[in-house]
Amino acid sequence: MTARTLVLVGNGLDTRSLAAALEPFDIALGVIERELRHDAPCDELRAAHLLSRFGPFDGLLLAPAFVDGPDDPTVDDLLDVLTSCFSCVKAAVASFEERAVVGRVIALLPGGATMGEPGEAINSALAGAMLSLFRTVALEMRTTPVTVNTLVYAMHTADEPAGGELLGDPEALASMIASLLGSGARGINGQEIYALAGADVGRLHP
Amino acid sequence: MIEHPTDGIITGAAGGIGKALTLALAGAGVHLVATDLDKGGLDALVREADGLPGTVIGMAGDVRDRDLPQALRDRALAAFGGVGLLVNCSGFLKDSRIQKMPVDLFRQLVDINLIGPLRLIEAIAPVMRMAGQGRIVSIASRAWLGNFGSSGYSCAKGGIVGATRALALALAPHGITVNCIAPGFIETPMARSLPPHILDRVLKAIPVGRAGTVDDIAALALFLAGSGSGYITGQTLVACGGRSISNPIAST
Ligand SMILES: NC(=O)c1ccc[n+]([C@@H]2O[C@H](COP(=O)([O-])OP(=O)(O)OC[C@H]3O[C@@H](n4cnc5c(N)ncnc54)[C@H](O)[C@@H]3O)[C@@H](O)[C@H]2O)c1
Repeated sequence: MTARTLVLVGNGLDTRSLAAALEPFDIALGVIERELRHDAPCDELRAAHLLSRFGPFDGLLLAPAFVDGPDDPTVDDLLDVLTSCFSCVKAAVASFEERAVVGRVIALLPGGATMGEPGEAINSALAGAMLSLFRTVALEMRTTPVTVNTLVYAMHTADEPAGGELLGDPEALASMIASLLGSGARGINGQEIYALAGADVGRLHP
Repeated sequence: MIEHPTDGIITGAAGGIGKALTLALAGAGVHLVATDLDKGGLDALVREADGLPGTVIGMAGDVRDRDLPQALRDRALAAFGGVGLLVNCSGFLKDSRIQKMPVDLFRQLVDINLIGPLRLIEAIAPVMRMAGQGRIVSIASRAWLGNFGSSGYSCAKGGIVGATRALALALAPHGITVNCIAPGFIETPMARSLPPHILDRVLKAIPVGRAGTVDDIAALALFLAGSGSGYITGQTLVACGGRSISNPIAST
């Protein structure tokens, strides 16, 4: 198994557990924390610069979510975060194409916001927007070695730690990411995997 | 008998679908504050609506203007005393593959197609909550399922679909329903703005063999705005002549 590098651009997700869970798969996780923040939307140049920080990378993980803070997110924050996400995806696709390599783009979205939760309209808008952005980019990349998929993850139900939101099952998420990175997953494109242990069953997906 | 809210606000009212919808709603007796960027189109609409059971008041504006929602709300409250219906129908489409789509264009697409409608819902939902009833209908798009060339537009429309689910859950206890309509290809100026070779491919991909009409969408919106749809909330109704279940158009 060759070592691979993933760059995660996140927004307050506690990524230490995910990085640790990816290690056994020989996947190094370069984390760019809080770069999807809302007060400074990232343009293409900045996105390309950020992604190149870890050298040639094999995949981009995008984990946008508004975490609980003193202020509720606003629609303006949403516009900024989506702009940064778009810039990162565009920069990653450009980098894969320039290097003529296989590339993986994966969105990590929280299950609650994705399925729809009362009082979470902005987060649900963000999740819905990401799903559709990824579906469209997947269609556009269909004939290339780049795949674009979404993993919907469960959150930890216990009290949130101060460092960010805890992933419910980082090992399971890491193993799905590892399989999406493998060549066997080249035919998996534009898909949404709801890793919610069945909590979404019986509800319409967005 | 189907009843409709007595008053409401509609955006994008001078456009193809918006105009048909405004006239259908006013025809059903709904008093409306109608808004659009296109002042001339709005004036023509107001003239055309003259004599219908519902009054149509035109108020030009840009949905990106953060003061517009408040102004629309105040105008409707002053004129009609309430806002029982909100229809988000303004929209802007410009396609390009992600590699060629400038970030500024992406931002503009999201601003008009998602942020504007959300800001309006934020301003109007409290009025509906106070009244203990209301209908919110947003015109999304089949492109929310993914559409070649539409990264900005589909992203925005997916956002409104996502928000609709959360809003529907939050507002259901207050007697308010929140739904989306996802039209496929509808014969309007927006649809006609597509390059001819793409237009041709789109039309060939529609199983029912024709473009949709503005009346196809107006009928659905009238239903969602009326008393017959009170048990439907958080849904996205797709009206696309079957295109959402046929093969996608993979490239342009
Ligand atoms: N026509 C189609 O095939 C189709 C398909 C799917 C979804 N839709 C959606 O249906 C809705 C109506 O579209 P349409 O086909 O009637 O298009 P249209 O272009 O005829 O109408 C859109 C209207 O929105 C207005 N508008 C645009 N930007 C605005 C802004 N910044 N502020 C205020 N108003 C603005 C325009 O002036 C126009 O009158 C849109 O939300 C569109 O995205 C249309």
